[in-house]
Amino acid sequence: MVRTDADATDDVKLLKKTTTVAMDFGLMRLASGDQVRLYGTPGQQRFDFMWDILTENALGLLLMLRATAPDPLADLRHYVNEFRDFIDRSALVVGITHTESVGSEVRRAASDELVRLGLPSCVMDADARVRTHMATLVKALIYAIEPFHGSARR
Amino acid sequence: MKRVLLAGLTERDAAAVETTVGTHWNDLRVHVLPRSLGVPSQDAVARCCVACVIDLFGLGMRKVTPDNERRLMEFLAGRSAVLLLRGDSDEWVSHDLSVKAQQKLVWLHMPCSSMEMTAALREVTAQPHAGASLSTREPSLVGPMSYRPSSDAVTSAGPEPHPPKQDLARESAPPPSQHTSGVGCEEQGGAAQRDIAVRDAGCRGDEGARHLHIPSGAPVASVYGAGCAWEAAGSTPVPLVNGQTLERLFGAFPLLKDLALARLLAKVVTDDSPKVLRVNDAVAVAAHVRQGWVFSKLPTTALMRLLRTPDLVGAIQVEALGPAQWDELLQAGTGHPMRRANTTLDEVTWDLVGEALAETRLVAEGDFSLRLHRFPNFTRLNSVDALDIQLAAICASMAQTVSGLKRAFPMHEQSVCRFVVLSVLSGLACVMPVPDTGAVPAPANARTPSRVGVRTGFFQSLLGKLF
Repeated sequence: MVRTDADATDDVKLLKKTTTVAMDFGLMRLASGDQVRLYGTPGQQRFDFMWDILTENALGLLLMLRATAPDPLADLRHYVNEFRDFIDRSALVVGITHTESVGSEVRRAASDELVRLGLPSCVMDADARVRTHMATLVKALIYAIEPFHGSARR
Repeated sequence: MKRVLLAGLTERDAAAVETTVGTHWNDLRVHVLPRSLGVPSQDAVARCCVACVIDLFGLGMRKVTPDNERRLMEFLAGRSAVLLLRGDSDEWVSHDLSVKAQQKLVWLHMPCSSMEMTAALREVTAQPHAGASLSTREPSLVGPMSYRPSSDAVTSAGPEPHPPKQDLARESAPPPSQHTSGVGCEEQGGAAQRDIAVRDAGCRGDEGARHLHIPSGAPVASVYGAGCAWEAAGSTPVPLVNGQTLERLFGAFPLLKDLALARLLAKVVTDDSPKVLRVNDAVAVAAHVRQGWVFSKLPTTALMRLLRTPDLVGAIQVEALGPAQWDELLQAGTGHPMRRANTTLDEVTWDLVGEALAETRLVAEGDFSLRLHRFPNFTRLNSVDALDIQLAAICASMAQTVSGLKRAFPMHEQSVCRFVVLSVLSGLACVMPVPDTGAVPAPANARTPSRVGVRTGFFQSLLGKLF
């Protein structure tokens, strides 16, 4: 069996037992015959060589931030900076996870930070385990990429 | 400020191009000539536009004829253009047009994607006389991630370069009968580039600011333009929803004045001081506008019932509390943890007002411009429509007028109005006046569905899968 998770050995092990060490991959087959490939990349800096590869020909970026991280805004700034060229050519939507204990503060602050960085404030709370939440984030990303070409337009 | 002339486009396509331009270029705006199925006359602003986007069908030039070719080239007057083709208009592409030096024509088959339009606009605005210094928001257009133009895009360029005959950089004030976008944001206040302070450091929550390492009063780039609700404040924090914002909202939607819940919210959010809402002298709800949260000892269901009952809502007394009173309330009540016990103000406002508006037919009798500075927290909202997400994505990218959104979504006027009202009342949007050069009324044909067939394209399929 091939897994993209491995036992965490760095500071990630304080948060979870395993962590992604390769790209996650999902495939959606659309009625039109098109295929959507969803790639999940590890966030650790040492895997940054994968980021360029995965953003090539990608349509947009969905960034998941943990609200309980020591400094989630620093994380946001870091990833926006790393992916800035790509974001400027495509779109960014941010999902804030683990918000149960911090309320809406991180979402609000992340929105303000994106504005400060000159980006649309597409930020929502999300539970990565809830399909509807993730679907909502992807929908927002699609509309950020193609604002006037959705089904709801007509 | 340089402009691109849009002519012959449907209201929706014009809105889409306007959004694309606003998203990708800092110093480029559009000027729209209403679609008339003929060649419109160009006003002074139109003649000064540096490039054009032309829907040939909308100009009555579906077929290639010597007369159409002459009229098109006269209309362009040597400017580069994105030319939109519909149906079987391919003969235009193969026809050898007598383009001038440095004039570039990019053909796009409709419907096209935003990326294709962006790439085409980039080509025509990159011409020397079209303002080569136009600064796109993309820092680099080269490298492995560069956009590769679609195979649908065909380019023809002039044979030999020579200086353009016209000084296309001249600017003049647009006549009021034309729709020139972006004037309100960038030009009215004349301060688009300035940094403005965070309207409310407390919006993030003072404690949150410390946890999140945000220096209090850190500047926010003025991407919303100078017309935002906090425009006049400079570095002074101003709550996003204030009296002026509500005045504009109620002015555009007078029916809201009859909505008890809207009137109550107006009392609550008109300033950012902590408030308590009393029913029969008992505290029913505590709301901290600045920090954006709401708490009630009542169960959520009871609170919803209370706020859904107009008579009860009308009887609620709103009292602003000073810091000492607020601390006293916290200590006497549930204490600090209560901020996490209930919900956030924007979410509860969106849901409650959304329900209250369900039976109300909103009619926009005025206009204003709005831009989302925060995204609705759709994952936590009770009732989310695909159009809400679409409108949020559009309004987060650039400021939109109510009238412009209605023109862009003529079949969804009620949903557009509802989204606008909810966004403003929930404190998610900044509101700006519409510039004096405001939009022209939508032509009659804009109210009817487009005759252009809908492409069952990639994004539509993806949305179909997700919804």
